[in-house]
Amino acid sequence: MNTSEKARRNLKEAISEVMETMYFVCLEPAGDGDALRPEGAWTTVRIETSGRARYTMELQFTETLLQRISDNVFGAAQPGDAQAPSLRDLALETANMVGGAFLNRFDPERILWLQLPQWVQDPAPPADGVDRNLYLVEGEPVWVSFGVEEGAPGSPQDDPGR
Amino acid sequence: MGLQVLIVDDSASMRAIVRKAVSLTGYEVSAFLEAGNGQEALDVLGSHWVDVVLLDVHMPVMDGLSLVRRMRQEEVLRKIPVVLVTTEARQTTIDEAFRLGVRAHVRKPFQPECFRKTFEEVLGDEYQRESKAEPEGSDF
Repeated sequence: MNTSEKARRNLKEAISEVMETMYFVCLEPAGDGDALRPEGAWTTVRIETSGRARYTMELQFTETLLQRISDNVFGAAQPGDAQAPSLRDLALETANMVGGAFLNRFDPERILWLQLPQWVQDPAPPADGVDRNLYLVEGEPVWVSFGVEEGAPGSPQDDPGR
Repeated sequence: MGLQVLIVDDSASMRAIVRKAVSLTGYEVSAFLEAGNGQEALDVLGSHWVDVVLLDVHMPVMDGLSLVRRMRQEEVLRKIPVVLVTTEARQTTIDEAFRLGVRAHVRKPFQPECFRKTFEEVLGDEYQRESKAEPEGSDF
């Protein structure tokens, strides 16, 4: 298994860990028809690593899923009443934990470090070389994009925290 | 008398998740106090008794390590146990936190069990758990 394959596998494991440990929902593979289902409102968040390689992970959640997680985890007084900023915050924190769980697996030597997660207001179509996979969580689609840029700017020596 | 727990994290979602996890530890909590950054935490610490601080690292205005440095300058605040709750992967940051007096580190994602063990470590026998029965650790 080469480095990219290992990273992709670790990313999937990281997403599963976050979903199961923190939200008590499962990540499932999507079927052939799931990509064609009508799309509602989406929230897209991105997190990247810095260091010897830049791994970019982009997660796209339906607002229906975020609302459901919010209701389940936070016990909303009225199901479905979480507002967009709260759902965005939940998506960002999810990306942050996914990034952390990914590095725990992929980079135990701590050569890479995480950037802060970003909300992507207008997601661009996936660029060449970017992996894009569809999963289901609670029956809702979740798109996961993954790209890598080896030898990206920055190095562990540039990290003031190291 | 229950614990007064201060949760410091710029994400309201994460504060809610931590609150929920701590409530499943079996420890009696009399109050959850919250702050969105280190400066807000100092304001809370200036006006409330706090038994333990659960602290993120990366926050706007004042980050977690800066808060710990400020707490060390105050005779009363330096005695309050601080637990890092973070995705932070850099060992140097964690080492620096412990050097500054942080007592424990809980890595996100976490299970409620992590907080129970951490509280046992940092609070010792001073605080009794609400029940001797094991909490239903993963039952969020």
